[in-house]
Amino acid sequence: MIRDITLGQYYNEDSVIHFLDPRTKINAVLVYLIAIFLVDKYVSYGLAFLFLIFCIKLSKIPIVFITRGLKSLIFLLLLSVVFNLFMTPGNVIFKFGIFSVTYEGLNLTIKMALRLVVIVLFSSLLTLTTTPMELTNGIEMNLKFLKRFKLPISDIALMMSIALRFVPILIEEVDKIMKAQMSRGAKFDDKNIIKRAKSYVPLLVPIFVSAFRRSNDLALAMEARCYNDSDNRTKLNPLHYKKNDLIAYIFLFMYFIILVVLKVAF
Amino acid sequence: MHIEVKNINYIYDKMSKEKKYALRDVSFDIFDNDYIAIIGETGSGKSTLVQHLNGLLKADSGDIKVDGVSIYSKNYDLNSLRFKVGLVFQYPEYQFFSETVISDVSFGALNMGYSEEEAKEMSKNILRTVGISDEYFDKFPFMLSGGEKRKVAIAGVLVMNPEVIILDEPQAGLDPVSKSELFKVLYDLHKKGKTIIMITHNMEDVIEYADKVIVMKNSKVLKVDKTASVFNDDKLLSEANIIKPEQVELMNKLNEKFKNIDIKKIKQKEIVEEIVNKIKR
Repeated sequence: MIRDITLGQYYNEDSVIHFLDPRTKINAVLVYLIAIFLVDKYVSYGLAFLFLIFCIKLSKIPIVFITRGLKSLIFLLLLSVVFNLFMTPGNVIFKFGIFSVTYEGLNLTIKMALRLVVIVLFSSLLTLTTTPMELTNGIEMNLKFLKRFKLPISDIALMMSIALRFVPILIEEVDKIMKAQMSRGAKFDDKNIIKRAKSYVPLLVPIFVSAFRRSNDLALAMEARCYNDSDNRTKLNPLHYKKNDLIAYIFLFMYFIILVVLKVAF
Repeated sequence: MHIEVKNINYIYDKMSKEKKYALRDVSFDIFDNDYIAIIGETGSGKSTLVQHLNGLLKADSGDIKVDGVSIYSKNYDLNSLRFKVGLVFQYPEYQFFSETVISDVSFGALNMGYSEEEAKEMSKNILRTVGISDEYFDKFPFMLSGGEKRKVAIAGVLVMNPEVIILDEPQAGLDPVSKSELFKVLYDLHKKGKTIIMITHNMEDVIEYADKVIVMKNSKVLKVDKTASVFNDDKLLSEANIIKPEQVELMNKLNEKFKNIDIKKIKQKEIVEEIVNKIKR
């Protein structure tokens, strides 16, 4: 049910990917994202896909666990498919009343869909192999240069880490409230879309209330322990690059170069 | 209503590497008009177990039969089962969503298909039964006190007039007065023929109210027995990590000293009677 959302969840495993520095992983996702938009040939898509599979294998996370994250994306995927498929002008392959499917449209659709899927899978690999704490540490370190422009990076990082930390808690809360309302005869799977939307009111109100309650408690608990965001907060586990990070960067660099070469040369 | 639980197993987190059992080979029966307490350490599977009884969770193996019909059989109407087996979650007041007490309580009745009018009438009746007076009906539920909130939330389940009422730690976070009021309401319902099942960590409440006890430990049911027998079973208590209640201790000590004391009498009233009788004799 609601627990199927994998985005923002951590999967505990002892793998090479898990032990990489979070900065390495964040940078890898960034490079991967940029690279995928450079790509336009199916060969390159194949390579991107291979790279993804390679990383998943290294991370030792079961494939099913990662692909579960796609479920929540189906709507977006369908929307992009429909628009690309029917709205692209070009050589018509077949007609369907006023709708016509073109060769270019089909081509674009497949590529767009592949892009979306690959991006989601790769970024969920980041959150699955990195604890929220590591993730925010990594982002904070990556964005440190912005401090010179008086941007409150540590505040933003703290906000992010709290938000991420709350995702599983809220998911659990939704699950619980859903069950409580189901025990009172609520149905969340009504075929009628208006009835279905209405049925979510008994869910949304308690969730918002509990989110506010929890954040209130947290703020109080932090103040009680004298939390303040002075400039020189030290870290419990400062980040250090290790040998494996270098290897990862080399792999990433090679992957990027090959993609660029594929784009330029052929 | 007869509920048979037969050898159910439930595995937590089916995707992860090692299988974690939340319930392991659990079997017991619930008969009409039982008052059952489920006790055991936190994490022993109590909450998971009760969520099976109204079909919110589905066992990975084993079967649950309600009046002889398996709730896992095809086309079984789980929704109508939930009207017959009312489940009150821990901190039920967290599920409020309406702007008035009465409309929140009506939710269950409306889901059963009653008209707005009927649902309102049913809600009023049940609210009065649990001890919420008329001037609260149109109040904002979040504004009530803790004890009132709990009563309203429980009324939200009772309004469906379930035959079996399951409560997950109904007394958690309540002050003593609200607690005893709540337990009185439950006891009255029990006397009117309802089956009551409650999870609790408070052994005094178990002794005072429950006829039978289900003892759980590490996802397994250790024992299902009469309340007095469970609390006089030292081996069982130490295995389940339960401290012997003072009442039981008292009766045992009295028996050592004076003999012929019925150690199965552990309710407050029974203890007093037993002592008075002993003195008279």
